[in-house]
Parts: sequence; C-alpha cells; structure tokens
Amino acid sequence: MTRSLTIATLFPLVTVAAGDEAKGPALARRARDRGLSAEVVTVDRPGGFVEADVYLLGGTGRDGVGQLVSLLSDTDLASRVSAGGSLLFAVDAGLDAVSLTWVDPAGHRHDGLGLVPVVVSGAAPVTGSVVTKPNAELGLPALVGWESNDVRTQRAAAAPFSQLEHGAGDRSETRTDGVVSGSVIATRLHGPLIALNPELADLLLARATGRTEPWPDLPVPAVEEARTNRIAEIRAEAAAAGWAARVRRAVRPLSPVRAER
Amino acid sequence: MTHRRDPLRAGVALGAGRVADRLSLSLGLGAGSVVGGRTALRLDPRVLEAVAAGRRSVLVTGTNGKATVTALVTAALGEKGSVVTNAMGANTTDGIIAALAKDRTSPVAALEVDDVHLGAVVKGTRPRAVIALNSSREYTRGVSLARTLRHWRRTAAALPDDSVAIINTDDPLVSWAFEAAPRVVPVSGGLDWRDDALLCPACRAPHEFEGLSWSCPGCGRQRRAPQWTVVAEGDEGDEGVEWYVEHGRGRQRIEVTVPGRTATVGEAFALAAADVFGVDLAGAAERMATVADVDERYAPVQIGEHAARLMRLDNPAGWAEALDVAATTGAQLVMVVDPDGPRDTATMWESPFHLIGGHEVAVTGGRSSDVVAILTAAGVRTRVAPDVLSAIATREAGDVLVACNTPAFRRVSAQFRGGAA
Repeated sequence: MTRSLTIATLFPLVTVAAGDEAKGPALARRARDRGLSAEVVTVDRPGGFVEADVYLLGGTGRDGVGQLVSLLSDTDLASRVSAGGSLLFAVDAGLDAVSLTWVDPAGHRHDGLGLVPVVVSGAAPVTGSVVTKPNAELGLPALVGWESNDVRTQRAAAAPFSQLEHGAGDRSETRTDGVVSGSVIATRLHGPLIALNPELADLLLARATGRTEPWPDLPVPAVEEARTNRIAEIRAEAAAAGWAARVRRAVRPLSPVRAER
Repeated sequence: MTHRRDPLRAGVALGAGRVADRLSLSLGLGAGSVVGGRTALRLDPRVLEAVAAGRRSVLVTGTNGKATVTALVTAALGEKGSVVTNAMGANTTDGIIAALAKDRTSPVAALEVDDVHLGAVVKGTRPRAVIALNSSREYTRGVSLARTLRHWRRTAAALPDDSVAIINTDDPLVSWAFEAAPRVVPVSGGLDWRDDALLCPACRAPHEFEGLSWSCPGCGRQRRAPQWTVVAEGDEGDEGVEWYVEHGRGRQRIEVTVPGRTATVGEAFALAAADVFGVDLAGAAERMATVADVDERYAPVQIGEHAARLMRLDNPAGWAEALDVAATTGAQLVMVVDPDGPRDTATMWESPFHLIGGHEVAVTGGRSSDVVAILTAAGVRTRVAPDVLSAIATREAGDVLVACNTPAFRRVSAQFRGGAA
C-alpha cells in the first residue's frame, strides 16, 4: 500500500535561519526510501496553510517568536495537532512558539500556543554540538545535532525528547532536551538533524502514518559514516577539553611561582 | 608618524594601534591589521573619522561578492596608488581603520564593509556612495538577516545628503533596506538565491517574480528600473561574447577578466560608482580589465594538466551561484570542506546540489564524510581523495573548479601559493 504524505514547513522566514529548512526534504527523501510518496510544501502566510500529515517549525532566536505565534494562531495548526490528525516537529524558536509561555528578548513573558506543557525562560547563550543518548522508548540511537539558543526549557508532566551525552539542551540538571507530548515532538537541535539521523525520520514517518510495527533495516552508509565521524569527533574534543580543564586545575596553584621566573 | 590633522587623542590611539600591530605580527597572530585597528578603536571611537577625514569614500557591502566588487571599484576609481582599500577581507570597523591608518594620503577610499558594520563605517567615513550587492542568510555569525536589513535601513536613512546608494534593484530585500537613502542608483545585479526574498520585508505579502523583475501585491513596492545593466552580445562561438554595461547615456564596453557572475555584474556597480565620482567611464573600464585576481582568489593555478580555480563558499546563495555555473558550463568540480565548528556543513544541506545531479564530484578535506552524505542525498556521485592534489588529479585535463569552505580555502590557497604544484 502506498500512501502520500504532505510535509509542510511553516513560516521559515519569520525566524532566524538555522539550517532547519533541510528537514522537510530530508524527511521526504526517507519517506520515498520507505516506499511512501511525499510532498514538501512551504507555508509563508496564513492563507497558504495546508492540511498536512507532518508540520515542521524551526529557526532560532527569540526575535521572531511573537510573529510566529500570531501567524500560527490564524491557522488550524493547533486544532489539527490537538486532535491528533497531524504530527508537529518543532525546533527551538518553533518550540518556544508552541510552549505555554515564553520570554521575549526584552524579558517580557508571553503566551505561546500551549501545545506542549513547557515554560521557556531566558538563559546564557550557548552554541555547540549535541550528542544524545539512545532512546529505547522512541527507538532512537545516539543522535547528533547542534544547538544555538539563550533559553531554559522547563517541562511539566511530559517526557523529554532525549537524554544528553553532550550539550546543554534544556539547561536542566537532568541533562535532557526537548519534549514529547501528544502529537508534538520538540527539540532545541538544529540543522541536518533529520538528514543525519534517519531513525528520527523513521519515527516521524511511523507516527504520521500510524505504523506500529518496526521498520525493516534500511541503512544509508554515507549518512551513517558522517554521523559516526562527527560523534567521534565531538567525544574526542570533549575528552581533550576535560583533560585541559584538569591540567589547568592542577597547574593553577603553581602559577604565581611560574610568573616570577 | 601620525598625521597633522588628527585630533590629539585619535593620534595617540593610532600610535598605540601600530604598536599592537607589530606585537601581533611578532606573536605570530597573522597579518596584524585587525588587531591594530581594534586597539585603536577601543582608545577612541572617533578614530575612524580621523583617518577617513578629507577623503571621498565608497563602501561595498552585501552577503556575497564584496571583495570582488571592491577590487573592481578600486581599479575603476583611479590609478594604482591613488585609491586606498582594505584588501584581504579586513572588513570590520577595526580592519578599515587599520587600512586607512596605513595610507594617509590617498584621496579616495574604496572599502569592503561587513554587513553589520555598515552603520559604524558610514558614520565614520561619511561616504559619497554605498554599494549594496545582495542579502541572504548566513549561519556563521548568528546575526539574523532581518536584523541586518533593519540595520541597513536605519543606516540608509542616516546617510549624508550628498550620498548615493548604488543598489542591486533585483534584490527586493536590498531595495527595501535602502529605499530611504537620499538618492538611489538602481543596478541590475541579479538574484541567484530567492529563498530569503520570498516575502515582502515591509508587509510580509509574498513577492511576485517574473524574470529579474519582482513586485509586491500587498504594498505595491516593485523593482525600480535599473540605470546600469550588463548585457552580452554574440555567441560563445568564434567571435566570442562581448560585454557591455548599458547606462542612461549609452553603453560602455567591458572586459570580464574575473570569473563568475558576481564579477560581471560587479563591473556595472563599479562603473556606477565611477560615474558618481566623475571618473571617465572608458578609463575606468580599461583599468578594471587589468584586475585578474582578487586577494589571490581567482587566478587559476596550473597543476600538471589542470588549471584549478579556487572558490570560497560559505552560504546557500554562494553555493547556488557556483552550482549554477558548474551545471551550465559542465565544469569539473572538486570540493574541499574542512571542519569549522558545529554548524560548518549546515548551510550545505540547504544548498541546491540537485542542480549537478548525476555529475561526479571529487571530495576531500576534514568534512569529506558530511559532503559525501550531502551529495549522495542530492543524487550527485562522489569520489573521495586523500588530499586536494590527488582530488584534482582524478579530473580530466583542463579547467577544474575547486569549491572550498572558508578554512579549506585558507589552507588550499596557502598550499597553492607555497608552490605545492
């Protein structure tokens, strides 16, 4: 049986580009590899809103979140997602927009669409690589991505998207990132997240089509190699940084002596 | 030696800047110019005013093509030695101070300006002309496109009354940002990457595009008719193509000596600037014809049977232009991409590699596995090589485009200049 999927990228020009527009085509590629036909639509104004199986929201920065919330309010996104008719994958500024409340760059708190039980507040800016821990419940291996945000994400009564091996994520002590709640999966991870992690694409496709049995194996060697190399590099850098910090701590008591030379 | 005209504090600041310059050279921090400028700026924010005083300046900004067009403008505006410029991409406020401090006598300055430094540099130089080439997304700096455009718009509204904005009228974002300038000279500069210009920046309605023309059905803004346009005559055959820049009073023959579309339309921008400065256009065109290279970027390097041309690409608009050239000319491609932080290859996943679907590309560099994944996803065949020379050697004899990200570009150009061939 072939099914045709519509994947809609919502208002990408409203937020700061962070490589998230690669996600739609990557998901459609994986769908085709899985024998599904898929079409990617970009929605740039409320009047252009389409009924879709998967909605993608993304971008970074808090400048555009207010406009994103107001544009999304004029669409059927909330009702379609709440009724479980569509899946929403929201990244960073997109996560802010569907949260209960978020904070603008001036520090004022605003209501989001309230599609996930998440409260967002300001934090120090962080940009860096992220490696997640495998998530057996979602059937995901260790994923690689990157983050660039200045917010803290607090969840209530919902599971995180991932546990982190490396990265700042939601800035909590539990070292987690994102949220999975109802028909919404949300994360802070940008860029080629879906392209580099085909198992995530599989998860979205299974959710969107109501598939419950596992997908057959379908490795993409080029992607697997790119991901393996990048994770190895991040781990090596983290190990080196750990050593450097330990050396600095060990050497610090000596430094006044060294300065006298 | 500080210059007599300098206010006292600025003079001291410049002296300190030169000390820092020498220090940074001796510490092996590279060509020092930016470090020196930064020290000077910290000591006195009016230093730029002091070093720019008494000169007529033209500033060149935009996401892509700044260095190339600045080189053409420098040539167009005068004989060698009479125009000061900031070659080698030192295009922030500090880099510009350093360049101007080094040459205190040239009466004209042609300056490449980083997009987000335009306001400060306009304030400090009170330019006769600002050239705005294009505007599209970048990931490297974390400054949003919308913020850059607002910055340009405020800057344009604050330009001195005798200042002229020479803008790419084919780019709706640039057109909006500079609409409040005292005088606008529209140039047809083309638009390779439309994805960031789909919506009207003023009213958010989707633009309507037709060829190079665009209009906004929401607020009625539309492309101004260009006053300077590049036209080609003849075929690629025996006679070859002849290039002209058409303008209000006729047309000027130009020789296109630097490869790529940016350089071709860059001649139109440069002639428009020459016109503002009252420079004879025929002479300007003649001098531009001697520009064969920009910061040693373009001159082909002969490597055995191959003539390799280096390109530096760091955003989707840059890749779009290069891939269009590769697809339409059938040029052989080598890609060299090195690690450059967590976001290094993110822009490439959004770039239109499907334009060269079915072609084979030789891939090398520290991010080869990312590049192979990106190209494979786009239906491009790949062949990985251990280094750039062996990657080039896998191509047929003749011209090869060597497309690099910024760290790879630095590494490979240093290798080629060092005579590795």
